[in-house]
Amino acid sequence: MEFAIEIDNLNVRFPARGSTVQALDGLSLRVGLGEAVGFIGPNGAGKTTAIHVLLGFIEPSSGHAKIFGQDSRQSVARERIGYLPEHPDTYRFLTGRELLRMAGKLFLMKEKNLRERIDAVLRLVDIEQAADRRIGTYSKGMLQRICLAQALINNPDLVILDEPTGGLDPLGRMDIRKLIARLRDEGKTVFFSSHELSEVELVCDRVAMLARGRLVAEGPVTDLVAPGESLERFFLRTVAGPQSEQRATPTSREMGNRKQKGHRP
Amino acid sequence: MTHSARFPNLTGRLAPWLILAALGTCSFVLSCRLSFALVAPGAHAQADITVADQMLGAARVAFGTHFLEAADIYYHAGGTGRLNDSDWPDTWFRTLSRQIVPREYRHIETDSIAEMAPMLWVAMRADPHNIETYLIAAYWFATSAGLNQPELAHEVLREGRRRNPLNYRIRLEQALLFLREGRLADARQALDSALALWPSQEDPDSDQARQGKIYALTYRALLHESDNQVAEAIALWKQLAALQPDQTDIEKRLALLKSGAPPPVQASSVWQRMLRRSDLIRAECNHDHHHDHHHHNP
Amino acid sequence: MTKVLCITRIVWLDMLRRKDVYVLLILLGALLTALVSLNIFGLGGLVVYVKDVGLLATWGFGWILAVHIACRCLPQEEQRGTIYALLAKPVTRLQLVVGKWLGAWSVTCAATLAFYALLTAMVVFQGGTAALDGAVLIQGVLLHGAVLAILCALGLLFSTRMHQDAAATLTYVLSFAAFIILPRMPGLMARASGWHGTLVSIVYHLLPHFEIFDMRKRMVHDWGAVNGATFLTVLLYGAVYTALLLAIAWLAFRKKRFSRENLA
Ligand SMILES: Nc1ncnc2c1ncn2[C@@H]1O[C@H](COP(=O)(O)OP(=O)(O)OP(=O)(O)O)[C@@H](O)[C@H]1O
Ligand SMILES: [Mg+2]
Repeated sequence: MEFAIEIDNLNVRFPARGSTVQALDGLSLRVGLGEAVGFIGPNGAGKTTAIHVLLGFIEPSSGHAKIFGQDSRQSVARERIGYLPEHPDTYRFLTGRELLRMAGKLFLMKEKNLRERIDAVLRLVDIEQAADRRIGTYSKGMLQRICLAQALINNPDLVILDEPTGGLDPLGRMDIRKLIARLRDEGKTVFFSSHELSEVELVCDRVAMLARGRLVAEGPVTDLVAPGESLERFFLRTVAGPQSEQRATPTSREMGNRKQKGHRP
Repeated sequence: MTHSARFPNLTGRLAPWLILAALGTCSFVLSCRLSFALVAPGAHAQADITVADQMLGAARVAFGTHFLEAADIYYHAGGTGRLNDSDWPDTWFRTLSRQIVPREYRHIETDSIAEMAPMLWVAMRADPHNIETYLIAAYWFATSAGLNQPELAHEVLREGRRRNPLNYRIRLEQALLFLREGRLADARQALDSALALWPSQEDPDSDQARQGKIYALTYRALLHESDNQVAEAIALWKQLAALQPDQTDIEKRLALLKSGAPPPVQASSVWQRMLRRSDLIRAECNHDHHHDHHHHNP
Repeated sequence: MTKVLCITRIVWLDMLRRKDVYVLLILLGALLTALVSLNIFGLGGLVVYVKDVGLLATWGFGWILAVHIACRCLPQEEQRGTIYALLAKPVTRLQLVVGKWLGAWSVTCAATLAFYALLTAMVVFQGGTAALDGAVLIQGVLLHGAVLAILCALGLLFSTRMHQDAAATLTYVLSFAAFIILPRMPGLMARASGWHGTLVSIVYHLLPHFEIFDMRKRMVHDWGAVNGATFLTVLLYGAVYTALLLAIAWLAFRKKRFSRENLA
C-alpha cells in the first residue's frame, strides 16, 4: 500500500545552550492516502518539527521521512504538497492575486490553467473581494486565508496544515473545518496539527498524539477514547497523568460535539 | 498605508543613517584635527579660537588641501603617479589595474585648463586662508592660452586679498599681474604694500619668505630704475645684495647705477624676462606639485 | 529557470514598491542639477567635475543599493516566516539563492543604469556630445555591473548566516577595505616576509579586487577604451568570483535551519 506520509524512527536534536533538545525521539508514523489525520500534542511536543522534516526544512539527526514514497529532502517530493505554516505570513507588498500567481509559477503551472485555478482558489477561501488589494492591508484572518489559498494553488494531493485555526474567530474556524472536510471528501490527504481538540474530533479519521517527541497514541478517535470521554479528557489523561483529569470538566460544547460525532461514519 | 502612517516609518528608517552620517562627520573632523595638529602644531592655536572653531578650521584646511590636490589630478588628466611603488612586487592584479586605470602623466590641453577651475573654486571656499589656492588659480587664469582671462585672475586675487588682507604674497602676485599688463602705477602700489606686509605669518628665515622678499625687492628696484629714482633703486639693490651675498650680478648693477651710466639692459626688459622665466619655472613646478612651488631666483 | 526568475520577480516587486531607489535617484538628480548650476567664475561648459562627482555618486549609490538589497533578501524571508511557504514549493535552496542574487543584482543594475542615464544626460546638456566617449562609457558601465554582481553575492553570502544589519555592516566594511587597501597591499607584501608575508599574500589574492573594475578615470579624463583582452579578462574575473561566492553562499544555506524567533 502506498502512503502519503511515511516517517520512520525520526530523531531531531537541536543544539541548546550547553546541551541538546531532543525535539523528536524515534517518531514513526504513517498516513495513508485520502486520510484526514489530526496531529495533536502539548506545546513543544515536536509537531512543528516533524512537519518541518516532512517538508525538508530540517535534516533529521537520524531516521527518514517520505512523501508519496519520495525522500522528503528532495524538492520533487514537494510537487504534490500544499503547506500552511504555523505563523502564516507572506509578502505584504504583493496583492493577493500576485501572490497566488507567483506560487503557481513555482509549480510551473501553465498560464491558462493558472488563471482558472487562481479564481477557483480565491473562491474556495472566500477572499475574492480583496484579491487585488495589497496583502499588507489584510486582517489576520484574511492573511490566514490567502496563505491557505497559496498552499492550495497546485491542487495538492497532500495538504499539511500547522495549526490552521490559530487566531481565527469561531466563524473562521468553522470555515477551515468545512474546508478540511471538503478536501477530504475530494480524496485528498489532510495532515494537520491543532490544539482545538473538539475540531480535530470532528473532522479527523485518525489522530496521532505526540508528547516530548514521542508518539504516545495513534488511531481513530473512537478507538482511543473510552466511551463517554472527550478527546480533550483523553489528551489530559495521556499527557499529564490521571491526576490532572480531575481538573478538566466537560464543557457543553464537548457534549454537543460528541453527539455530532455519532453521525459520522 | 496612509501618508501619516508612512512618514514616521520613513524617518524611523532614516534615523540610523543620519546618526551614522553625523558620527562619520564627527570622526572625520576629529581625525583631521588630530592629524593637522601633528603636521602643524600650534598653527591654529590662537587664544580666542574655540575648540569647535579649531576643529572646523582643521577640517576646512584638510578639505582645502584635498581639492587643491584634486585640481592637480585634473591637470594631470587623472594620472596621479603619487604611489611610490616601483619596488612593489608585480602582481596579476597590478598589471590589470595599470591597464584599466591610467597612471602615467598627461597634461591636459590648454583649452581644457578651465576644467581645473571647479576644484580650485571649492578649495578656495573650503579654506579661504590657503594662499596657494589663489596663487595657483590666478596663475592659470592669467597665463593659460586657452583661457586667457586676466580679469578672472584679478578677481581671484582680490577675493584672496579680501579674505587675507595682511598677506604679502597675494599683493606680490597682484604686482606681477599688473607688471604683465603694463599697469606700472598699480604694480608699484602692490609691491610697496607687499614689502610693508612681509613676512605676514611666515617665518622670516624660511626659504619661501626669503624668496618672496627677494622677488618683491627686485621688481621694486627695477621699477625705481625705470622711474629714474636712482637713490631709491640703489637702496633696494643694497638690501638685495645683503640678502644674496653670492650674486655678483647685483654688485655689477649697483656699481653701474652708482656711476650714473645707463644699464646695458633696460629695467623694463629685465622684469619682462623675469616674468617669462618665472612662468616657465612655475609651469615646471606645477608638473610636480601644485601646492609647494617657490619663487625662483631672478 | 522559471522558478529562479519567479524568485527574482519577488525582489523586483519588493524594490519597486519601496521608496529607496526613487529617493537615491532624486538625490542624484538634485546633486547633478546643483553641480551644473554652480556658476564657477562664470566659465561655462565645464564637464570634467560633473563627470567626476557624478560618477563618484553613482558608484556610491550603487554600492549602497547592492549591499542594502542583497543583505536583506534572505533574512527578511526568514524573519517574516515567508521562507517556509516558499521552500514548501518544489524549489531547491540553490534556486532560492540564485534567484535572490539575480534579483538583487538586476535591481541594482537597473537603478545604476538609471543613474548613468541621468549623468549622461547632464553631461551632454553641459558639454555637448563630444564630452562623452561612448565606448568607454559602455565598458565602464559593464565593469561597474560586474562590481555590483560581486557585491550582491558577498552580501548574500553573509546574510545566509547573519542578521541583515550585521551582514550589511560586514559587507560595507569588507568591500570598502578591499577597495581602499588592496591596491596598496603590494607595498606591504614587499616588506613582509615569512608567514607574515604569506598571510598578506593570501589575503591579497582572496579578497575581491574592485580597483580593476574602476574605469571612472578613463571616463572622466577621456583616456579612451581599454583593449578588448584586458576588458574581457576583468569581466571573467568578476564572473568567476561571483560564481564562487554564490557557491559558498549555497553551501552555507543548504543545510540551514530557520528559526523565526531568533531573528525577529
Ligand atoms: N530552532 C530550534 N532550536 C532549538 N530548539 C528548537 C528549535 N525549534 C524547536 N525547538 C524545540 O523543539 C521542541 C519542539 O518544538 P515544536 O515547535 O516542534 O513544538 P510544537 O509541538 O509545534 O509546539 P506548539 O504546539 O507550541 O507549536 C521544543 O522544545 C522547542 O523548544
Ligand atoms: Mg508548533
